[in-house]
Amino acid sequence: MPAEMPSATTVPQKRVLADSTNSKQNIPSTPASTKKRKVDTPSSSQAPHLFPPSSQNDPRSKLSSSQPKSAFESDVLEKLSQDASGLKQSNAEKDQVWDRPPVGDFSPQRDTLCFQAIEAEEGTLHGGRPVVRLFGVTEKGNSVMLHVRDFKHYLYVAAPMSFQPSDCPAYAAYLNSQVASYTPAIHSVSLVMRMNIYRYQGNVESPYLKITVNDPKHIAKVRSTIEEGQANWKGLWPGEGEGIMTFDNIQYVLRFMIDCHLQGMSWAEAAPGSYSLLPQEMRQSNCQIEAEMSYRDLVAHKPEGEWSKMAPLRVLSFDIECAGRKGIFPEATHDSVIQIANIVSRYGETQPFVRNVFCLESTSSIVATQVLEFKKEVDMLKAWQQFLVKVDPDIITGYNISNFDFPYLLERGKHLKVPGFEFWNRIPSIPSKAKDSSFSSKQMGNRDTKATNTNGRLQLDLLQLIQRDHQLRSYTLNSVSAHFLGEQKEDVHYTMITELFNGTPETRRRLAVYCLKDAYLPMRLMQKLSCLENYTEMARVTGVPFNMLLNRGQQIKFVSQLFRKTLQQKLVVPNQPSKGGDEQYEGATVIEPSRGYYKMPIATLDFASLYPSIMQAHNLCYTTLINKQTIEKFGLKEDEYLVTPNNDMFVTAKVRKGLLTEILEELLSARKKAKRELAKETDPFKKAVLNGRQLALKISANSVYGLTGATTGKLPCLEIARSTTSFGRQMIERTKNEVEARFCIKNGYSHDAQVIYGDTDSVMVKFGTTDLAEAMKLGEEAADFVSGKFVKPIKLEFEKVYYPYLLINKKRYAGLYWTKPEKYDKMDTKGIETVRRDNCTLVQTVIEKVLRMILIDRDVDGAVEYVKDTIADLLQNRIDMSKLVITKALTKDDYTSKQAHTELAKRMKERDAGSAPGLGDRVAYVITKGARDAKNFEKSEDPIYVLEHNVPIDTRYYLDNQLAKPLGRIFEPMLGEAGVKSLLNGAHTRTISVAAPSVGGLMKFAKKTATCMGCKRPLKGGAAGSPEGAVCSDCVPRVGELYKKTLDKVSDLEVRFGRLWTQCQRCQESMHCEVICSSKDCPIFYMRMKAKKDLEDGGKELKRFDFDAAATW
Amino acid sequence: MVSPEDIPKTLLQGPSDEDYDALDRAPSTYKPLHTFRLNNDRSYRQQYGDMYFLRLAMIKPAVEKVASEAWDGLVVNGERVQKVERVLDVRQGELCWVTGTVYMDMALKPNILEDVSNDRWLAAPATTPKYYSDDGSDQVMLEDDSGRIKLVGDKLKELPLVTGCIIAVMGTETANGELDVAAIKFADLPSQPKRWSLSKPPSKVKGEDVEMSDGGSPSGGTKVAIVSGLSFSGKDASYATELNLLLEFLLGEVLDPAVQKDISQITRLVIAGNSIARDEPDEKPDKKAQKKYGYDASSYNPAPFQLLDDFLAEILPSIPVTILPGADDPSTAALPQQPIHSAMFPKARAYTAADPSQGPGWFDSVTNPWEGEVEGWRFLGTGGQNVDDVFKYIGSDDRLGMMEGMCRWRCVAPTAPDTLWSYPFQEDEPFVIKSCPHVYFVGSQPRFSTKTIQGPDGQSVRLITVPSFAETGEIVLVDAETLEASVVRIVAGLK
Repeated sequence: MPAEMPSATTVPQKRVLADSTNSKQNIPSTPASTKKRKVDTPSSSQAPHLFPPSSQNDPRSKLSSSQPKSAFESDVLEKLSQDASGLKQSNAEKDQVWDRPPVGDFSPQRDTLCFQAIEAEEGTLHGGRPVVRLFGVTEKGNSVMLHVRDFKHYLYVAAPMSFQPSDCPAYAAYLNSQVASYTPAIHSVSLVMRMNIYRYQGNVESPYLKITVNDPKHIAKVRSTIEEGQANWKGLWPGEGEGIMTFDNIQYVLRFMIDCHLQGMSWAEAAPGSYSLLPQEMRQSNCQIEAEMSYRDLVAHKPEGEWSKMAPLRVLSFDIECAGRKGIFPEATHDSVIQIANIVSRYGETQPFVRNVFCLESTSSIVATQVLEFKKEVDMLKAWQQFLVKVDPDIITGYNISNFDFPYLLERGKHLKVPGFEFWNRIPSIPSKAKDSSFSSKQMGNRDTKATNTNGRLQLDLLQLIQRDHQLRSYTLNSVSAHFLGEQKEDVHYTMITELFNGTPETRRRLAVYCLKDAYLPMRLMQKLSCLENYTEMARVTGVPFNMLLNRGQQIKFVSQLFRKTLQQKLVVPNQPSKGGDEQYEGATVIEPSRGYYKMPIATLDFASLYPSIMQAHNLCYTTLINKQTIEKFGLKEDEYLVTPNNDMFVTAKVRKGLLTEILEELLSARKKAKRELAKETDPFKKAVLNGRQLALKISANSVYGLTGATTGKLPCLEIARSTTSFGRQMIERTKNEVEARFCIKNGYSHDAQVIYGDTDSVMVKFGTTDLAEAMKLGEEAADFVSGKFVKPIKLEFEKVYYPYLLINKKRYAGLYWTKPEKYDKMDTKGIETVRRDNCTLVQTVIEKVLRMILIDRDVDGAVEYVKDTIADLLQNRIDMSKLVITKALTKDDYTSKQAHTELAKRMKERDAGSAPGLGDRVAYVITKGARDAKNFEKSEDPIYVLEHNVPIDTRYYLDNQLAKPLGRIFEPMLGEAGVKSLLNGAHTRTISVAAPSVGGLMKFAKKTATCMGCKRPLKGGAAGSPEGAVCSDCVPRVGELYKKTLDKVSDLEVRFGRLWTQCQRCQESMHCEVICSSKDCPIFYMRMKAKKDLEDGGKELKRFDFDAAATW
Repeated sequence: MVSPEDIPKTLLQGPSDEDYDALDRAPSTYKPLHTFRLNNDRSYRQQYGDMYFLRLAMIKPAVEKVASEAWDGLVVNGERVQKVERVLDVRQGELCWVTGTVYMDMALKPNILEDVSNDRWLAAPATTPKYYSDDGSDQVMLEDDSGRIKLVGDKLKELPLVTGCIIAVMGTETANGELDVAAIKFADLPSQPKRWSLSKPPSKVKGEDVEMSDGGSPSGGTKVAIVSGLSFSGKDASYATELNLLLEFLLGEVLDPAVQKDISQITRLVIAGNSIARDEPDEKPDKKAQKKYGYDASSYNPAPFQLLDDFLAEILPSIPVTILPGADDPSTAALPQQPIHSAMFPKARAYTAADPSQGPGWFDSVTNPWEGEVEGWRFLGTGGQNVDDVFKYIGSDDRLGMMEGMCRWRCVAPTAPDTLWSYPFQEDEPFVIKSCPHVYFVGSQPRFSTKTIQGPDGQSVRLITVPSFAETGEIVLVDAETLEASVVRIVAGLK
């Protein structure tokens, strides 16, 4: 009775999709799937008396004895229907509120304007008067833009000897004429007392000219005029025609923040009456409150105590889907944007308050999500822009939005001429534009990126953040979520996206769910990694606006901190041209490791914050640096200065306390305080903030040393850097000597202690005892003992014991990490590269397992056995191929060089241009057996192709080029060279099996002959056994055994097949829909393809027994 | 052949004229169905989605019928309950009902992704005792091809639910997008065929004999014996005596004539799985011994298979046997398990049908699950994996209740393929129970238990859990007239 089956008739639609996807991108599809239409109800003869009509009248009677007592208790249902009618009023699928809360009754005469300032930029007001625009959010969640006027930019020049205060106006006039701009550039010149930050000046201030400009735009011109020697008024400065050095070169917004004591992401306040609201016609922004005031009245709250709170910032996470064409990465000029998923949450709330998807074409609904359908792309984009402005996010996040989503949307909007689409900002007159920018820093290397301006809104591209802060094997959203959130995510290839889009409302819904997930995951990652908190605290600690942290290098943070300090101490910073030289100095020391596998506890002693504490202890700073001449000039006595091991000289703190010392002291004591508060705090959001703060403080303290040594930077001072490292080297050596001299049998200890390794700020001590608790006690004792020998605040700390400890080489070791004798904390490894991407996962899992066995189980023999078994499995072709897959991204530069993945991409293009990887795709390959001298790039092959055609794998390559080196390194300290050799070449490597390929080479000429499953003898009929059968006549007695062997193999494959495919169903969160995920990062992607094929092959083998007389008769 | 009458009287003494009852074993009427047979050339290119789709399409009309009888036209607080076609059409603020497939999201389900990343893959999938956890982390979903929705509400606790069963729920969507469930309906028992709908009652040629034996034996009609877990082992001989006694019992070689007479009423032996014991492999071979790195033929122990074959070969001349595979038997791992191959029965296979198209043989190696008509009654049986897996979903050990659930959900293996390995069916979903059985037995259960359940149309099903013989020494006898089930325990005296 097909008529009774409405669901059966709705389904075939979705099947259209599956049929058209055959073999594309290797996405499995179901054959003959339209057959579902044929579904028939069971035997029609029984139909008439399924449910007799007698039970249809009374709603209670039809509940047969077995049905749960119908719970129509009126209260349950009534409650339900009341809830329901409540929901009808405010339905999460239709009535999500986008707007911010209304400002309400607000009067500048009566109310304080207080907000968290998230962004500051230059702007103008009242016809060109320069202002700083502060964007922010009030505690109530209202958006604010405050124009702060009257703050003028300035620079310093050392005043010549004869310069008198009365000369100031004349000099100002002179400068104006020299700069020669339309409007007078110079506002004023004044004579002030300041001190150069470089070198000890005997604590005496000198006269400087503070040159203030009318408009910050002029500052660069003024500075270059002076520096180029065109402002030597009356020849007062020595050196005719030469340039004059200027001081304090810092950009306007930062100068403003420093002078107003405003820190990044902190709270600003304007008292009632001190500010005025801008009248409607003068407003520049779409913020709810727009006001102006003078910088003199601005109150900046230090982000401490109450003011470390966060405003309810709105965070938008979004993702777009494009309908790409086959084999071509989507291009904005061709490929339409088909869906945009958005999730908006308020800081401090766990659930997002907006969840929606903008969809092209009709799309089925999604639970608790608003689906907005559009017929035309132009309308959709337009509506999205309006949504963006209305929901008014303070922070926009997503995955790879900077380099993909933002520029793509903008370009698409332009291409389609969507009116006003590019206005994403808080300032409606400024369009958003994507610009190429290249970002380069010592820490992160060079990177070409795109930057899009979203004035007033912060951007957090999770991809960039994670690339910046974490070393991972792969940075796809899949593997990043798997790594941090422990979830595999369905990955739909972009060619599949087009098909889903061209399908039905259901397939588009599926795509929308996928898109929504891609918008949701960055939000979850951001929360999980506390990105917002950590960067906020970094902005607060260093005083730098949030956005600057992300698009500028390390220096800016230090410069901001330094200038805040120099302002207090009336110091000025010379604007030195960057030397860019690469003057080298000696770095940290490494005590030559005594390599080996230590089965006893190894105590680790660490200098806490080594370099910062050295700088503090010895008062190393710009302001304390002296030389022989200085000593003479100021008549310094011997106890008033210090000569470093490097023969540089600095005055002691008694004479002048170093500026860096002060900064470091403040940072470290603030960190202590943050850590104390963190320990007490219970609120998870406040905890994240405090943790972010202590991290930011730690990073800032540690970066000071590096910046004094950065010769390309603004403030290099090699004397400080090299003195710091020389002290460090000395201390490591001294520690070694002190420990070994004290902890010895001579002094009554049970063993002679030995320092087996030391690096930068830590030493590893073997006390000799096998007792963990005793080793910890001795470590404690040694740390206290040695700390006593050094100047405060240098402190040697006992932190952990490694037990056992495998010391492979310099900066390469592994150990079980203990901080308490009861239970180890973790397994710790350094320099053992399991995350390298050009390794296959086999290497990773083998190394990890081996280390676990060696360190946790302390079973070296077992580890050796395991390695041998693995190698045997590898050579006998029993390792799952997914573990042998190597992936590399195809970038444009790679086309020139011959590499495994580029060559494969070319070959795949020749085979089938549609499914070949394109630019930006990741190419997955395995190394297959080739001709004798074939190069690796000739032997790379598509894993799917290998599976389908049984191409033999070059297992030797994997042993020699992938496994041998890391395994050799690990096992050498334990087994010696000979042992490693037998590990890699022993008896277990003698049995080899190779797949019989179905393509290539001689296979064209080969004829397939069935062989006996027992003895491999060809089956040719007659006495030799039936060619369809399984065994030859000699092996007849073994037929049961051989059947069982084949059966066990097939059973194992069946379980694999079942487990793998049901896992994919779970992951995609649907049992009824076909699995279309093609995530090559997923550990089971190739496994499930292989299980499918092996199972069919296994079934064929099993079938041979049905034709075997020995098995059936 | 020489008959006693032909022997010359001169030889000693002639046989007495006393009339001994010649005990003839009652004949077995038997018609197996091939519902769960798979094609030999099976394809694995399809996925599991089709199977769920088919199951839903086949059971949904019955569920909807029950549900619409209960809920159509129901008005609560002036709100009329609406039927919704698909799960995703559920709208917030509306009281509605919808039909779909249950999916249980449980953290304790074995996770292959974890196993693979921890390199545990080579080991057999971890056998979890339970997926169920009572910390509230388990989630119940309802889904169809349009999507899925989370079910909440106390109603869910009143009824056991497992992945793959088809239900209708009535309720309303909450603000979180969950469906607050007020009531649940399911398909209930399908229609039940009449007795003798596939086979004919035995002809009354020996009518008198039958009457006589009817009169003689108090229990009435003939009996079908069901045993499971014979667990022939290559190592463990602790229950070998019981196995011998079982053989003697079934052959009627022991015991007094009255009991022998009872035994002669056993018309068929059904072996419900696990005839072979799961022998754990030997301890790690001595490390010093040369380790073999390839296939090792010596690791195969043929003893259990020979013992089973011998057992069958001895019993078969006297009584027909139906054998289902179980989890530990030499059959495929995925359901439906295919008949144990004749390669494993060099002796017993002589009793199989020469040409299966001509009807079943005296020895019938069948699938698991299996259905067929025995003594005119529709039997449905499994080796036990289906119940064992459902057991893991539910915080209870009422195995008869689980069997009842399967009948009422109309699915004999609802948790396949989610947690119970299964062939990916594409054109048929054989696990859907199309005709209600009269007897539903499940092998390899911890203990014997039985009850009868009734359906709305007068259907009646005898449920039986058959215990493992190796553990209990018990076999189950089902009366072919009353369908009463009783248990016989065989205990070796010298223990």
